[in-house]
Amino acid sequence: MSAPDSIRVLLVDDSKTVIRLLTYILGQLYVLQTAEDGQEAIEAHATFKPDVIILDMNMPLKSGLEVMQHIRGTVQDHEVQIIVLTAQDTNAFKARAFAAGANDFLGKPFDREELLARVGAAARQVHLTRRLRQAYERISREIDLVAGLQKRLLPDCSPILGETTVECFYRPSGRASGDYYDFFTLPDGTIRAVMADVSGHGARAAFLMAVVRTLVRISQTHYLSLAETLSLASHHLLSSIGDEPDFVTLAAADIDPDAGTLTYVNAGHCPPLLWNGGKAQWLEPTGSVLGFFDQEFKTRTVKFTKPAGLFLYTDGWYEWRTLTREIFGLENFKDLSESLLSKDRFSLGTLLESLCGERAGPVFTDDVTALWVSVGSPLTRVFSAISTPNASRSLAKQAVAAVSSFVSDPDTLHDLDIVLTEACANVTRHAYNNGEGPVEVRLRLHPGRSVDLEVADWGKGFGEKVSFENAAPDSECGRGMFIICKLSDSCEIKRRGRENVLRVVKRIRKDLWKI
Amino acid sequence: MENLTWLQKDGALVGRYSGEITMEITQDFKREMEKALEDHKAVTLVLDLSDVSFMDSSGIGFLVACNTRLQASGRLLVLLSPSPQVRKTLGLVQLLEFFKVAESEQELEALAGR
Repeated sequence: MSAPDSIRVLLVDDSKTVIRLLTYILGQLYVLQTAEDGQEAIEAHATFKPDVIILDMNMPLKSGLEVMQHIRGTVQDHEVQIIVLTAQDTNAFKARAFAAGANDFLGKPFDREELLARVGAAARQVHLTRRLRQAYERISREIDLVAGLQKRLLPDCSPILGETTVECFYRPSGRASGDYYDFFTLPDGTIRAVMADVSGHGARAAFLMAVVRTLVRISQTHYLSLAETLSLASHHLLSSIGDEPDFVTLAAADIDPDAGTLTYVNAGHCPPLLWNGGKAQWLEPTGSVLGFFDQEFKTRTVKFTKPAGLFLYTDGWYEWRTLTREIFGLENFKDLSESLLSKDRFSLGTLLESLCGERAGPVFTDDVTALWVSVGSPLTRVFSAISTPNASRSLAKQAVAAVSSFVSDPDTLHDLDIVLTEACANVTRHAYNNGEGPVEVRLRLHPGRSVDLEVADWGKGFGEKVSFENAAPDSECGRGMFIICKLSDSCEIKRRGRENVLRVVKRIRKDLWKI
Repeated sequence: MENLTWLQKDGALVGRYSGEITMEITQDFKREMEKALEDHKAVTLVLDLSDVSFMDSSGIGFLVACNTRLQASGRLLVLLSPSPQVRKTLGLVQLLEFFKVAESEQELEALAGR
């Protein structure tokens, strides 16, 4: 093994004399390997992984030019320093060799001092590249760390809070992002949903995003109104950002499903959409962006009737270029969202799919984040019972009946019936140590696409011995999970807080839906 | 169990069940079967499953238990005309081949060796 800072030099020449001479001069300074023709050179490049190659041009089997074409073109190694050794030093030849990827030249016969100087220069370049790469890797690890921490600041998607469901979409453009979304329940049962976008990308934006998140979360623990929350955020951001050009746009809403009211504030963010009574209402800014000047924020309250929904998103959703190089744009995005909602086909997944349907399909360049808070939608249902055998079976039947209003295919419904019956029976048998406890079936329909099911219990958890495999033919039990997975497109078990959740997705072909 | 009827036919004991076979009824079903097997010394037990509208893995467990129980005493279990729902569930766990299945009375006679 060579020391990590040693330089590996591959000497390629078909003349044994030249190789001996090169070895004699360079042997004390570098780790050497030799090759006597072009083919050997290519093999040694792969195995020896040299930092520098001293390459003769005229050789049997493969010429020096061919070797360079292989290394630079086929293998795509642009880092190895190639010093071409040639007696032929016309300008035309040099131009060809440079074009093929040579870094330097050394005329034959060569002078000892010049050889040492040229290889020394190449070695310095190798050291620089190594340090650059190390620095890049260190920064990269740190950004990964930031991105990992940041992901943990964002809530887990797809929970159902009573008759309200929250769906999230989060796709950072780099590893760390300036987008922030959140939702939580306030002490009075109101649901607060927040969407913010910090200007810029990367670690700097991620840092400010964490500041915004902390300020918003304070509003939960200290029960601050939306106006107070934004004033606090504005004040603190102003003091931490100061004269920097960064700013934050933020939209937030408090949704009271029982009272049917939504109170919102919008600090320069792209307008959230309130879908209410079959009509779209875009919640335009009520104030300017955060971080530029101190300001007071006014909230507005609107009434809604169930089913209703609130769609919050960031500008990455519409600021991308179509094939004709035009920006897709907010107006097109609004039209698309409204059209999906009016057809009862809206979900974040469908929205993304429909964007992909646009000729160009989106190549997002910015962070892309969205929240869809749906209240009282018939597409989202929750059924609960105590886990007796009888109630378990009837829970499955109720859920299947709810799906049957949207899906007509009897085979699909039968599949879902089996999946749900098995899942509920598992809870009855295993969750509460032969006792009984609550079991909940959560149903979420994505018309034209899929049914998402969650079966939750609050018992002892799945433990280690859940088997997803088929049992032996003569076994009397242990087939439930296998059947569930066999009949679905994805199935997973996980613990979420105190809940044990079996999550199942079953795709359903477009033509099998009633709507 | 009111939707379970037993009858004897050509020396075989035939149980006909209509409805769902799930966790709710498998224990009762097992008890009924044990009792019937004690009362009748028939060599073949036939379960007519043509009118079963739903069956889950508890139902599979029950059928496997029946099969094991009968085999141990040198007897035979035959499933008669299983409904599409029963076939579906058995097919999922690849047990359609595991059981002796008769599609019709004629096939049943052939299977029972008469």
